[in-house]
Amino acid sequence: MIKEYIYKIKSKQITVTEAVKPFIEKCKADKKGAILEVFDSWKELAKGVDEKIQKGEPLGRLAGVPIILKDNILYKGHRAGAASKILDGFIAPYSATVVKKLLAEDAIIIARADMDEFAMGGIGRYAYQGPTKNAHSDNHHAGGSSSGSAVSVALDYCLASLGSDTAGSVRYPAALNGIVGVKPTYGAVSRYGAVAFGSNLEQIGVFAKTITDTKLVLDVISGKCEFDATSKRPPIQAAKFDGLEGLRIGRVKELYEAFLDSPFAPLYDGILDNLKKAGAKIVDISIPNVTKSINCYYALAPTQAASNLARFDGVRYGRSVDADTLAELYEKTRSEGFGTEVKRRILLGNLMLSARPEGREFNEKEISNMKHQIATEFTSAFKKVDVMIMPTGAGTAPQIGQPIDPVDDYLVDLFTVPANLSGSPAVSIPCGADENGMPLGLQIVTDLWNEELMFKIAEVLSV
Amino acid sequence: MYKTTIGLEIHAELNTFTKIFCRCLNGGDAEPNANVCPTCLGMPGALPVVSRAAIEKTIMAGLAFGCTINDLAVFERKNYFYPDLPKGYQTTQNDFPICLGGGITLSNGKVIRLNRIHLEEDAGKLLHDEVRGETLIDYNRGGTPLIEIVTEADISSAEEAIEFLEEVRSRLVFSGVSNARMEEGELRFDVNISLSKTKKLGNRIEMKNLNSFKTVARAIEFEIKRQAALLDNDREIVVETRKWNDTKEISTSMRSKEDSADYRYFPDPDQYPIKITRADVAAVKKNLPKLAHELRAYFIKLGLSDYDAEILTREKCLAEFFMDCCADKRITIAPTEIAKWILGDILSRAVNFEILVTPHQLMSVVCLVNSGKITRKNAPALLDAIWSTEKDAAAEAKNLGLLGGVSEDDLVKIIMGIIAANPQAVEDYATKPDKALTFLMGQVMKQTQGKADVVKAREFILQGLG
Repeated sequence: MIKEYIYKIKSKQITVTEAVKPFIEKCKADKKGAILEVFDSWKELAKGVDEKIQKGEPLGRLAGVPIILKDNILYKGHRAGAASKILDGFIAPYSATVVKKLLAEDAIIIARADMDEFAMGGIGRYAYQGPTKNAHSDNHHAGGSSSGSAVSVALDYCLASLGSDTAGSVRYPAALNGIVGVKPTYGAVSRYGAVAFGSNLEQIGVFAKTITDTKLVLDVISGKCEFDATSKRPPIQAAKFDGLEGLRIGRVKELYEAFLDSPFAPLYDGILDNLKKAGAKIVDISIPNVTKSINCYYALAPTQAASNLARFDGVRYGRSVDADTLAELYEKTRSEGFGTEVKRRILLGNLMLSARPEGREFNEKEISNMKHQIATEFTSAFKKVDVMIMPTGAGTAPQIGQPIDPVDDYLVDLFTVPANLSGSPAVSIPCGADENGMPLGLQIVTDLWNEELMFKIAEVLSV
Repeated sequence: MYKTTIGLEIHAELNTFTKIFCRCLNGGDAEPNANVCPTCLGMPGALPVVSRAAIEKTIMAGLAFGCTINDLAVFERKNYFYPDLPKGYQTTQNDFPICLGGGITLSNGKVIRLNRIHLEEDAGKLLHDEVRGETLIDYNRGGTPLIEIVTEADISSAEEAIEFLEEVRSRLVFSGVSNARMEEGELRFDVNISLSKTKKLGNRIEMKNLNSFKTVARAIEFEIKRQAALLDNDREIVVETRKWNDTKEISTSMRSKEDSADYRYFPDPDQYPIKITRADVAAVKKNLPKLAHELRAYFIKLGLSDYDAEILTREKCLAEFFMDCCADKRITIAPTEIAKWILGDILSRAVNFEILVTPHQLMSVVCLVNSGKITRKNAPALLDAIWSTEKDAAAEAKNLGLLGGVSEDDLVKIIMGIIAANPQAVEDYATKPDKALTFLMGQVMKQTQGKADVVKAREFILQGLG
């Protein structure tokens, strides 16, 4: 899609300004609560690329392509708020590395999208501005936390969007809205300029409608960044993929068992059967501690969040409440600024880190060791298999208005969070729908830095 | 009598070019909040990238104190709220500091052991505007690399503490890791102190953020008296943090142990552990400058007295000035002579060891004197004239009309002429040497218009008279 779009621009069938306009109109007409703000600056960007075309200057790989950002990615001179009241009025004083990379390739950033506040939530209902509705139904949630980014792509508000994935926040909403969503290997994409939640878990990811488009945008935003010490240059590694014949596909025993009773189990069994028929080997593998992923994640991420969100104190930027004392300033600003779910996780994280032992089952060191253990188990598993295939989520989008217990909400991440703990790349692709036409996702996970193989298999499975 | 036990924590700002986790300029006297960026302002999404120079300087400090350098160091987050701390946590080292152990031997032979040296970031500065009732924050200092030197509780008195601190400061400065200017807040101290009747340690109190040796000494002396008085009356010493009031010279209770913050340390997930190889340490070691005691020994070997060597190594700038002067190729002169110039003419002018001429300028003056172009008597006037300027000594000597001192060769010729022209004086010399000499000197001064070097002239006259 992007290729065809760019061809029209390059061959001067249409100007960038003309090409982007319909996307802007769709954003402005959004009724899903997906768009928080359309950036007027798109016109300048479009004009700039049009001028380049007129002058015959070389064009970037995303020339004229309209892209939407999750509200936690900073774009200099534009509002960014992580869908939180506490960042009221905050204008980004600098651009995220990914934004600089997009602009360097002549992309047109057109809007910022709704999300769960500070990327905390799996459903897409925790934005201060309100929940995002599913692209396919006004009665269903979009999935989170990158809810608006997913819906924007599904409804063609843009050709690609960026989200962030700390526990499945790109893959899960991609699955629920029937599009492609990728979380790359930890360290592949710079986190500089993305509002931090779970620093050693999250990566900026890409939403698009096709594997080719997803891969193209991911290529653009990837790379070692001088401002992110955890970003890395990928090791050079040739992806061996000669078709499905002999490909070792891992079925993770512990996750498979968790899915057995699901009404969608036969659908996934069918996919694996087809792969087998095409010559792939289905290998049952065990990742013993994968079942502890959720516990590990919900101990680790809140500890980091508690600390990462300490900077929102009303002193330098964002929302600040009038107060007589310093303690009151902190208390009022943070009490009024953060939503319930964010507060819950900050408290959970601080309890976890607290030196006082009462009422905690983990300490930070044990949690970090567990993360390391799960990553090690993934590494061993990838000696036995080339790829793991599993559902992206346990089902289709939850209905709006149904009460959801926070703990059930946390369980949404069961299939996605292991890749955040191991750092593995993982992509969700559409793989069918329920009887109401609500989409389902299939997840393809490969070993660290093996995005190429992941995309090739995804390509085959998408046909 | 009670046994006093003291442990110190010394915070020293490193003099790296940039801050620790961003590429902002470290130090200087910029306008408030001029040297800041998203990272050191704790903007959303900003991340730390550690400065290799800060790690190297910490290793260097470790080597200067005889520490063991760890293979692995980990930055951790120390979580607490304060407006000068933009991220709501300080990035520091807790379980895995860069340096462990080490120590300093005092003149009484006692060794004060170090527990560790770790690297962390400094906070910004709060400026209270009393008139307008406002507090302003300057984040220029925020993110300055800071090392914390932690001692074992080996110190027993204020005197020992001060001797130890003076040596700490000397090593920091001579190793080149910190400028350690206390008046600039580049060196700050926390004191832990307890008194006990028995071998068992007593309850200790902590005093934070003392900013001069004098303050440390007074605070320790005050606490010894205060705690002794309490113990004399069988009263308990409360474990607490106390605040030193420098004007009143007393300490007051700040917060008790129960109120102490729970810092919720955990490894900073924004950076990987720092690996330090043996090769890294060897590379730093190769560049470790000579410390004061090493230079002192070297100066004594050059022929300087113990006393002169001691003075010249009190400040790094002084020792360096001396060595640069010795290295001046224009003149061959004994180091002891150069030391005389520095300890006399230079130190008498250098307030707070601020030497406002270059070694080259001083040696130009020395050259002028030794070649007889100006007299030694006129040297101070010339030094005054070039002090705190970039003026060329020879040119300035000319401007001031000091030049025209007679060269040694000319002086010899003139004296030979005078002796030849005054046979009576030569004859008188045998019977009334003083009178003859005075007469001949008068003739020399007359002919040279007073520009001859008196000492040299006398020497040559005596030689001429045989």
